Amino acid sequence: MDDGRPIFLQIAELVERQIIDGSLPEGEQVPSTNEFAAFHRINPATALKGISLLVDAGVLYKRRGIGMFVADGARDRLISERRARFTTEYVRPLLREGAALGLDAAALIDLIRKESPS
Amino acid sequence: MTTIVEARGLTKRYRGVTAVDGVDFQLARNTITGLLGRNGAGKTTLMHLLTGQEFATNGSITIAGESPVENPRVLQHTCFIKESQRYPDDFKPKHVFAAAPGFFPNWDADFARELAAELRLPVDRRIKKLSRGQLSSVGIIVGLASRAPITIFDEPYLGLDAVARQAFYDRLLADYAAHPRTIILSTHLIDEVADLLEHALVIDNGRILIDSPVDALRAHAATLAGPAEAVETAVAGLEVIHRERLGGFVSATVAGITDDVTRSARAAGLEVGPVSLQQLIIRQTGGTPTEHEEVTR
Amino acid sequence: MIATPTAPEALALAPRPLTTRVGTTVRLLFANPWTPVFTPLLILGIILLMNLAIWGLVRANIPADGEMAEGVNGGAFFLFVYMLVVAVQSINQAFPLALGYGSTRRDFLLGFGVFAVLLSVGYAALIATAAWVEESTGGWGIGLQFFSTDAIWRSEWLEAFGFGTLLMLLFFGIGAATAAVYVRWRALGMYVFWAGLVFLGIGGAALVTVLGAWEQVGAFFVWAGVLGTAGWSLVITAFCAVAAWVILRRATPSQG
Repeated sequence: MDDGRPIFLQIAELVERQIIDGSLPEGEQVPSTNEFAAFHRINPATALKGISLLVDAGVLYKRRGIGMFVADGARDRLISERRARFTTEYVRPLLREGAALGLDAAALIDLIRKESPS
Repeated sequence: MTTIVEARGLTKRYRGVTAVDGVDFQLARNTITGLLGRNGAGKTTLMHLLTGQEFATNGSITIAGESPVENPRVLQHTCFIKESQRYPDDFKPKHVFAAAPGFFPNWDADFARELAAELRLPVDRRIKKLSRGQLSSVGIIVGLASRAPITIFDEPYLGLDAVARQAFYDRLLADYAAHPRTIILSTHLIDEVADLLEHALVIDNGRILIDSPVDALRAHAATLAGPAEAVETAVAGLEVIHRERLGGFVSATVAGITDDVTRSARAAGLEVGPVSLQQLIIRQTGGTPTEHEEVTR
Repeated sequence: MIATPTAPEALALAPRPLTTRVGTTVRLLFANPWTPVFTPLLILGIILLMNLAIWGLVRANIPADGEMAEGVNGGAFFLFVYMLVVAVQSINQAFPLALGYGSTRRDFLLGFGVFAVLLSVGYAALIATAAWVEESTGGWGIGLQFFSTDAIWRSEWLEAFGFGTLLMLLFFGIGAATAAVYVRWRALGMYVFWAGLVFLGIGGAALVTVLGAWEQVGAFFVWAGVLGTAGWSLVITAFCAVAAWVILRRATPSQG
């Protein structure tokens, strides 16, 4: 794993993505920090930091002595957060790059229609 | 965070050469710290001072608040695996493993056997006849199976291939997770170990250049690339560690970067790329262009 | 998982007992028992057997009433030189290893001392006993003097044993001191050390000659007797031990 950002952020995002795509359903136990560390070959403290981020955000919750679980409603909340960021992270760069290439909004919409399945 | 190792004004001078030059740092207990730097930067001297094998010229270094020199109270908790460890000529690896439990109360003989099998170490062959990599395996096995509360690896894997090194990293992580301890890993293969480290201590010319959590290092450095003018505007007021120029194109490695900087750089059409720990350290220890000229002259 | 494994609260700073720490060194030095024990015994056995065979053959070819020579052979005494080499190797090679594994210089040297005493006592007992057997059996029945080459070995067992122990300790002491000089100062130390030793030897001899005191020197050995002289060697052994300690106390194996 590497996109240059701190690894604990990448770990947190990875878990979020799995919650969003349903591979980690609500109520399910997530792997332990040591399992994360071993799998991604990272320092356990780093993995813990990433997981703690999600606990603080209420996406995961702790059950003492048992482990970490996906909170109820976590998926919906993550999806709405992601949607809120969609504009800045995807739409604006798309428009900017399109403008640089002489594609206006209408042309981009056409492209999107063409690429969309059905 | 409990401090386990502390250096204050630590200095080691050999005839005219200052190997360690007034160094101050602390290591937190049960963390993995990378001791990084170029050859001859002072890493090995520092580790010898830490284990009481060298005597400080000035200043102090302590383990749990005590000087390690001739101090069995703290030395009994240390295990120092040296790059070029010599063993008695008549020894086989099995003799090393037979003697080890006396030094290390937490020694795990089964674990040592397992590691020897995994690293394919012939435990019944004379150490003199072992290859460089097999010799390194002996050190790695002792270092891991010792479970010493303070374990120090100095370039532990000379001659080991990528597969064996990966086995070492995996075992180190798994065993560290199960038996937390303070680990100091000195290496020049920074990219390979970057993700294992919690903390980085970079030493150059006997001085501490970087003393920081690895996360923070990654978060605060980036490479901005694009048209010279736009790059220079974006990096104005920031610490530029390195700058490369190709015609009108500039790539600048910047420290102390913030989200705002990243955002405005992207908005200005610049490419913002990650800086690996290794690149960061090479940039920081590579010397300034003028020094570089002097070297190549 | 939340429950990260609990680490020990803090470093237990109570040192392990001195005996444990010293025992660790002894265990390291005996880790490969071939070098200090089995190999020398094997060599000793082979030399003895060869001597018995050869001397038996010689005897068989001499008429029973012919002139009889005694088969005198000091074959057993390679053990002393061998142990000197063991001492040198132990200090030179095991010392840096022990330091890396968290031993102190002091604990290592004490352990080496125990190692040297154990081996000296063991080998002295072996030689004294073998010499006694040799004496009692008329040289293994064929007049071979392999162990009982000197009067001291043919005297009381206890005297022979004491003499052997002291002599072997002397060899260990010299080996340890020499190796300590090497570990601390490397090749340069060796040159200075040997040059100094030669200088002392020649200087001493010259001094005795100038003073015309050779008679007194001879008288001393006569006065002290073999065992007494061996007893005086303890002074040299002790000096070597102290020298090794003083030298290694500030030695830094890293330099090697």
